[in-house]
Amino acid sequence: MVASNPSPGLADLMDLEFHLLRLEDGNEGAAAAARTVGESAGRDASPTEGNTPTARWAIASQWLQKLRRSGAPMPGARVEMGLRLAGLLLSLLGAFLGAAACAGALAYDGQEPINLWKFLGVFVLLQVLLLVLLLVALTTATLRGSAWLSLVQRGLRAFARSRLVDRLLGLAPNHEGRNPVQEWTADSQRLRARHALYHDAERWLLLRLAQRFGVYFNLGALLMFAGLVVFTDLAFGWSTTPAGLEGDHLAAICRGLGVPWEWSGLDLVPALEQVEATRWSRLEGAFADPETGPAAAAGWWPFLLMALLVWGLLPRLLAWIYARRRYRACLAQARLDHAGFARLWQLAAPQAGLQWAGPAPDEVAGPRLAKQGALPASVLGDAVDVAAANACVIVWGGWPVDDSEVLALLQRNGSWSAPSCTRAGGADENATRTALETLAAQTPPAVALLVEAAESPDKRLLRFLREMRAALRTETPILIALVEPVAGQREAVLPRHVELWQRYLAALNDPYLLVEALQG
Amino acid sequence: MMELPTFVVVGHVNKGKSSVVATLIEDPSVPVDWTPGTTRHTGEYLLRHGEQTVLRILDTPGFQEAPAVLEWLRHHAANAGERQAAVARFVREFGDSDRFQDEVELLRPLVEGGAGILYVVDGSRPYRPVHEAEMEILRWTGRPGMALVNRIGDALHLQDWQPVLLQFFNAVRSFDAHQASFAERMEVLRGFAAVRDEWRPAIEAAVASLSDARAHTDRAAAARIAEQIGAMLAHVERRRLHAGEDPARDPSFDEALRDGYRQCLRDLEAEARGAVEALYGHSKLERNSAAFELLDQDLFSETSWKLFGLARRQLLVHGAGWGAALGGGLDLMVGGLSFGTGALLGALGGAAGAWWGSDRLGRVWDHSNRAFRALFPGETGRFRCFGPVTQPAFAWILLDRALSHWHAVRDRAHASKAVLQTESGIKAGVVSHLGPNQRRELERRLKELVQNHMAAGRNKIDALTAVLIQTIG
Repeated sequence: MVASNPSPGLADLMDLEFHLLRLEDGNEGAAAAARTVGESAGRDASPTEGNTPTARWAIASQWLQKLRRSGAPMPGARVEMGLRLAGLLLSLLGAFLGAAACAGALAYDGQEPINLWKFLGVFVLLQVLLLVLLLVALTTATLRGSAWLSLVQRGLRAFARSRLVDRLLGLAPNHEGRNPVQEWTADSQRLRARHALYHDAERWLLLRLAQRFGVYFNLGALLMFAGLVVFTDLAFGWSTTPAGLEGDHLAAICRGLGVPWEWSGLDLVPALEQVEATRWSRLEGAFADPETGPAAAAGWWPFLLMALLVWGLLPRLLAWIYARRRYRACLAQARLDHAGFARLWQLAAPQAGLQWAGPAPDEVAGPRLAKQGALPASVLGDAVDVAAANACVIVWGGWPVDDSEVLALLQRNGSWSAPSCTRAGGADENATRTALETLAAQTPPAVALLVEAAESPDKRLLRFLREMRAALRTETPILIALVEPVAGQREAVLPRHVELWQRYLAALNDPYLLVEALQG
Repeated sequence: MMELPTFVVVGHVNKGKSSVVATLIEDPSVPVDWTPGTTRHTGEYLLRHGEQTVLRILDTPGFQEAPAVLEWLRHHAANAGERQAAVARFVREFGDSDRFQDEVELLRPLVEGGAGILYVVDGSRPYRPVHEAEMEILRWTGRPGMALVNRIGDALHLQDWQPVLLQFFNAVRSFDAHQASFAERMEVLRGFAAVRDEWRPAIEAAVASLSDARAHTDRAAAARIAEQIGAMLAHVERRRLHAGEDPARDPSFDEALRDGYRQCLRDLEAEARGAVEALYGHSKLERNSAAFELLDQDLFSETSWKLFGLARRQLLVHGAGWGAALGGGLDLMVGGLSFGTGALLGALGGAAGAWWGSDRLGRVWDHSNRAFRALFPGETGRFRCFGPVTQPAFAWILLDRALSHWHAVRDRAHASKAVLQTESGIKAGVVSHLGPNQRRELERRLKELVQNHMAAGRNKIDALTAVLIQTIG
């Protein structure tokens, strides 16, 4: 069993969650696809194959493939495309802003040299500061769950849901007022419950996007810088007020910034002499050293270019790659073990776990007793009491009871009387046959059959009643008297027992058969 | 090769055989009804581990003509040596006729295979000699067996049955097919091992695997509940303000906003309940309106808080605890120079807030709020929001409701057709029975979720899941 992708991507996971919700809703298409996967997997998998994330993704991947082939909607690809578009827009925006910022910082009209502090401040010091903040965030628990990143996340999520983005993605409401996104995510409330599953991936996704913006910002700046150096003449200088920063301070800063490429052997870090020579006095409108100043001012660009490359572009690039890797790792490590997935697992991977399998209910169940049409409308009426003066009384089922008790019970519940009682339906089949023979010989005017109300009627009783009717006249009244003898006590017969007996004996279609409960 | 452990569930008609099977195999789709003759044909239920079958249970139609069958058998067996052959002959002779259809159906697997017998009797009814015919027929098959006294209803006649059953079967157990817990089900399956010693390893391995699968289901349910609580606590209901709409003049707008919020929370809860029920194999359960739906109405009322053992006094303790923690933080910030005044004031403030504000879950806010505009920078229109939950105690209510439901579903027998009831009804919640350590741990996890509702990461949900698993264990 080999999945198409070794690990899930964002679109896969979105599609998976989308269809898991469908599965929970009892969508037959989703369930059928899952069962098909289970059947094909059953041929390949060994019973010992475990419920591992890899096995779970293999199942999920096959399930998604089947759904995709069946034409089921797959919202993940569209969202992923939206994210790609957002990344592209961010890249373009970053490159444009970087180039614009660089052009602004390197604006030179030939009157005064470009102030080094502006360039270093924006493209080196600020970026170093941001890098430190990022490292702090990455190395502490701040990144995991505290407020600031969450605010960004929420903001971006709200932005992603805004009408502007919908329009850009072509997802804005159409003329009929229906929103495709809303149609897809009619279960959005429910999807929220799954948000926590992929929360970490979302963080890295945001960080990835932010770093991509940073990379393109620096690339834009770098290209602009190179263009200006090649096609224009630039002169750099620096200024300070008395008692401010001195030349040796700036030289020390430059040496510090140049440490990363010091090993290269290239002399790209300005020496103290160059720093001192390019000090610009706005009051005098000249370099501190008018002779060497102008030449030295043009010599700053290699250092600035390297600073931009090493302190601007490189950290962003590394952070981008790191965020990308973490993001992919988060997606790849999706555990796929939440409750929604368990349903899929049960359907699609029965071979991997312990499962009971059995027939469909219809294959084993017989026809249910009709709820309506209990006994046919009885024609007994008062005739029962009249006819019952010399009735034959049969105690069915072999429950222990004295004749006198039975006869007293009958009399308390009507005017039935009988000389004695007969036993049938007990352990001895012979006794039942004898009772029938006696009945046939006596042809009594009425028969009362006492049964335990809580015992279920069965085919043996049905057969007995049929044979009894055959031995009697068609219009001889038969009373099925329900009693409730538990531990020698008479208890009230439950209405549901009366209903059960009536429904069951309706199969006889005997209009002279009556079911009644005898109360203590 | 070892013979597959197979049990044929037999007994008189309508005595709960299918209920026993439904509960043992945890499948509510096994046909169960209160009328006789529901099972017309033998149902074969296999416990499979991949392609391999490890246990087989056959649910049969019940005995309906046992005395007549026994009489026939006695006519065809002169001595004990001929009894098994007589049963086989009975199955052959009546195999194609309607007479004794049920008896043929139930005896066939006993005659043809080396199955064991699981004889089910109704423990709510006293023993009658007429039942002896059934047991005698089963004895004639020569198969080993176990008797199960099914405790249908309230009355129990185990004392009547036991001495009789022990004469015919290797073991006798009592079992309530409609209320048996998972442990009781496993106990019955383990009891199968007593029927034939050579089946013992296979049966014990199957029981161990079923227990593992159950633990997996428990973990999945705990995770689902934790997800649900996280989602409910974090939910924010937002509605756009259309031109001309002014909530200050029209209070019904905020009321509708709150209603929408409540409805969403109910939907989330209902969805999670459905998922938990599905995990335990209880699809489409009918829930008790008194225990669940009524409380749904009262989810936001103080009454329902009290029902779950969270009276206002307890809410006050919660509030004080939170306030003290917050105030204590201020004390720490000034290096203890405030001598705990912050903690004291915080506790008083928290308690007061819980006392007077226990019915206020969250608050309404709108686009004019600067902080929330920062939260929704893409939102250019006018809107109003309600949520997320700001009352920590509310998390306890959600948790308690989820746990009550979980307990009810987890211990529900699959034969039961009754509406779902919580274990303790609506008198008290599950959390009120937890030990102090468990409460403390849960309190910690819930606090994390409420405090970080905007970033309820996977780790926090996982942490709550872990505590929930301990709780149910």
